[in-house]
This record gives sequence, structure tokens and C-alpha cells, in this order.
Amino acid sequence: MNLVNRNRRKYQHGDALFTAVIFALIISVLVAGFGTVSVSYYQRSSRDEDYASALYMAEAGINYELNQISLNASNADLPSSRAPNGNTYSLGTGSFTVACEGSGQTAWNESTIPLNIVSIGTINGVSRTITISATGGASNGKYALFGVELGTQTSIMNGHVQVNGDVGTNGQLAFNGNVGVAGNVIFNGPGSGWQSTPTNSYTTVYNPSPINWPTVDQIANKQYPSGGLSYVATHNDNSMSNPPITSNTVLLNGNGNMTFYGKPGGANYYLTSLTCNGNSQIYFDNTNGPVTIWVGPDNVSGTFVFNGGSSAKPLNSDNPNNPPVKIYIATNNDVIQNGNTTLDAGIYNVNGTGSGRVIFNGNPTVNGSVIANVFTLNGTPIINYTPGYFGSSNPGYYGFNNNYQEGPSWDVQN
Amino acid sequence: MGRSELRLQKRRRGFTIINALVASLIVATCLGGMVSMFYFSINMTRQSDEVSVAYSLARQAMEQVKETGFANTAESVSPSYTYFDNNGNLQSQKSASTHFQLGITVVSSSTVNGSNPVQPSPAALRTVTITVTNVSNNQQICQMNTYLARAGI
Repeated sequence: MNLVNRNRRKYQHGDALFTAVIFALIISVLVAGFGTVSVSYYQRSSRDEDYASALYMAEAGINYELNQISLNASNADLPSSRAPNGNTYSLGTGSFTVACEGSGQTAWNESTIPLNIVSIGTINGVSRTITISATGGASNGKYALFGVELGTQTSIMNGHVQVNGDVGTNGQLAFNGNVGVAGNVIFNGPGSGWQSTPTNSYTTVYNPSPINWPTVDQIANKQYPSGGLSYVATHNDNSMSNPPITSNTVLLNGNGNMTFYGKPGGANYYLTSLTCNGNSQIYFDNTNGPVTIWVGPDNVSGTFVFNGGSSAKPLNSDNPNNPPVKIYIATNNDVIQNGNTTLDAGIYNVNGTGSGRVIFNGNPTVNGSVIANVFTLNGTPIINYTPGYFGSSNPGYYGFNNNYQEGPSWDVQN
Repeated sequence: MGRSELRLQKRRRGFTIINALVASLIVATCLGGMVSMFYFSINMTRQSDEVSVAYSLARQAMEQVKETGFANTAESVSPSYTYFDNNGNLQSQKSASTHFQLGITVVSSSTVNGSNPVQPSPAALRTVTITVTNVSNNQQICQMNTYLARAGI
């Protein structure tokens, strides 16, 4: 009995301490568990938010790049051996790395449309990658009138001009009379703006880069690689007109008239000069196809003048579904409309030298679009913009092209 | 009772007091740690909830901006604020129950000259910044940024 009591007493030595240590261990485990659960819960919710924010950051990269290449395609961030994913930019608390890719997932160049833009958005170490397909959009503006020449070259409007459409320039504008513009006045490029403050107020847009309009010679060379305007001078449809054109010259006086006929695939007429006086009349008959008139050669003296009550307009029987009549003028003399003339066509007078203006005097009306080196409008002309005429050589902007995926890019050719 | 048994009883008595004191100290420390960990856990959970609601509000605002689009989102150089209670419910104005303040700024790199209200020029890059702030302590909980571009995503 004595032995049993002695042992029990021995076991009771340190019981409280032992129990407390066990308790402490259990509590420590519980406390560590609580702490781990709480911290991991917080970390997980923060991580979720970083994933969401990284996507917005990647989208910011896409929009940044679309904006940059719209301003100037040479701004494009490209993949390289030094920066295989493109260039990195900071935005707020994160950053994005963006690159433009062309065919074969190589560095993009302007000739590849559509293109891919790959953007990696990163927030707090969390990255997400998205790829979109982008394409070029039409040139800014619905130009009834455009002065192509840069810098201090000035297009002038005197008198009571009415423009129904946009007026644009890469150079400067002077509105000296009571000019009405039912549209925007759009300045393109760093040197572009008002030469003098206009009397009236206009809706004005300033774009940072000039719009590149190809010269007539370049357009002809693209359409006819075997010689451009020289080719058209000898391979044309001048014999199709009524009366047939001889010596590449049209001179109409009094009540004289001439009809230019279209044909499937397009009829091309080549002139070195065109003069219409009195009440002479040019008709365009595009019942069977489009009509294009080329006035050349490039940068030499030529004439394109409408005087009196002459006009050039479609026949009533023409096909409204066919493309409009386009007149490309490469010569370096002024293109002139005087009196009460009417022209239902697009005039494209860009020769790259700035020589030759489009001049309107009296009360002429143009239903179409006039793209000129520079223009001078006097009297009370009316220009009514009609869509479907001319486009610039560079896209006005680049935009999203309906393909969006999370992950690396695909080949744009697929 | 022998001498040795007396010595043993004496030693056992003293040890029990120290034993009890140390045990009490350990238990008190553990309970204190547990209580502070409960506070910590509650605080972390509250913060997690707050961050989750704040980010949800920011995401919702960001999606609304994207939906409105490049051309139609109003220019806002100074933040335009909206207010929410602690459950993320929209409030018509700031009040005692306001918990979150959501601010949106939209700044264009270039604007249409003379436009009123201010319109972005077609070539503009528009920077969108959305912040959510805890009104009670004026601490910023989250910030989201993106760009808008013409014909962008």
C-alpha cells in the first residue's frame, strides 16, 4: 500500500505543468491554423484581384499600341532578340509589355494587314497575356475638300463658300469670307492649322500626323505596273467616247458635248488637256461600268478648265451601283472651274510638287470630293461630299478586328 | 513517518506552487495569443471582404467605362465620385453609412479644340483611373488603370 501511494505521488509531480504544456501545444496549433487560414484567405482574394487587374493592364497595352500605330506606323513596338515580347511601359501600379506581329509571328511591317498585337499585363507579379487581331481603318474624315501640301502651304476660301462635308488639310487654311462648313475642319500634322483666325466658328479636329495621299503618278504606277501614266497614254479607251477623243485633247465650245462611256472592268481615258466653254456639256455614262479620266503627263503643263455654264455630269440612265467618275490630274497647271459650271465627279490633283491648284470662281458646284495640292475657292461655290471616291495611302487608324484570345499569338495568315 | 519521507513531502509541496505558477503563465499566454489571433483573423477577414467589395466596384466601373466606349465616355480630369455602403450598394450621396468612395478620372492626350463638353480627338489616348477609398479612414483600397483608344477593345 505504501509503495502504491508513493508511486502515485511520484506521478502527480509536474502534472499541472505537463497539462499546461500540452494545452499550449494545442493552442499553438490552433492559433497557427487560424493565422494561416486568415492570411491565405486574404492573399487569395488579393491574388484574384491582381488577376483581374492584370487583364485590364494587358488591354491597356493593346489600346496603347493601336493608338501609337494609328498616329504613325513607325511607332510600332516590335519583338526583337533583345526584347522578344516587345517593349514595356508602366501604367499606374502595373506595367504592360506589347508588340506587333506580322506573318509568321515575326516583327510587323506596314504592308501586313491584318496584324496581331500581343500584350502582357503585369500587376504585383501576376501576368496575363492577350492577343488581338488589328486592321487598318478608313482615313479620318469624309473629305469634301482636302489640301494635301504640308506646312505653310495654304488653302484659301474667299467669298461665300458652302461645303457639305469635311474640310481637311496637312497644311494651313485661311477662311477669308463667309464660309459654311457642314462638317468638321480637320488639321493633320504638327504644322497644320489656321493661317489666320476665321470669323465664324467651326468644329475643329487636330490630328497629330499628316495624311499621306499618293500622287497621281503613284496611283497610275500601282494600277499599271508596266508604265503607269505612260502606259495609259497609249493603252486607253479614248476611242470609246462620242465623239472619239483625238490627240488626247478635249475642247468643247458653245453647245458642244461629249459622252464618256464606261465598260466592264472600267474605261480609262487619257487627256493632256480638257477645256469646256459656253454651255458645253460632258456626260458620263457608266451604265456598263466605271469611268476614269487621267490627265497627264506627270508634272508637265496641261489644262483642265470648265468655263461658263458647262458641266460634266452623269447621264440620267447611268447605273447608280457603279463606282463614281474619278478624274486624276497629274499636270502642274491650275485646275479651274469658272461660272455656273457643275461637275459630278471626284477630282484628284496631287502631284507631289505642290504646283497646280484647284481654283473655283463664280458659282460652280461639285458633287463629289476634291483632293488637291492646295485649293483656292472664290465666289459662291458649293461642294457636296459624296462617298466612295478617294482613299489615303496610309490607314487613318488601326482598330480591333474581332479576334481576341487570352494567350500567345497565332499566325495572322491562319 | 521516516526522515526521508518527511523530506520528500517537503520538496513536493514547494514544487507544486512553482508548477502551478508556470502552468498558469503558459495558459494565460496561450489564451492571450489565441484572443489576439482571433482579432487578427477577424481583422484579416474584414479586410479581405473590404478588398473584394472594393475590387468588385472598381471592376464594375471599369466595365461600364469600356461599354460606354472611347468616344462617349465623359472627360473627367478631376475624379467624379460615387458612394457605396459597406455591402457595395450604391448611394445617391455621401452619408453616415457610406463606406466606399469610387473615383473615376478619364484624361485624353488630345481633345477637340473648343468642344463643350470636352471631346477626345480621334487620335487621343485616354487614360482611365479608377480608385476605391475607405471613407472612414480615407485609405485607398484599390486602383485600376487602363487606356481607351479609337476602335480599341
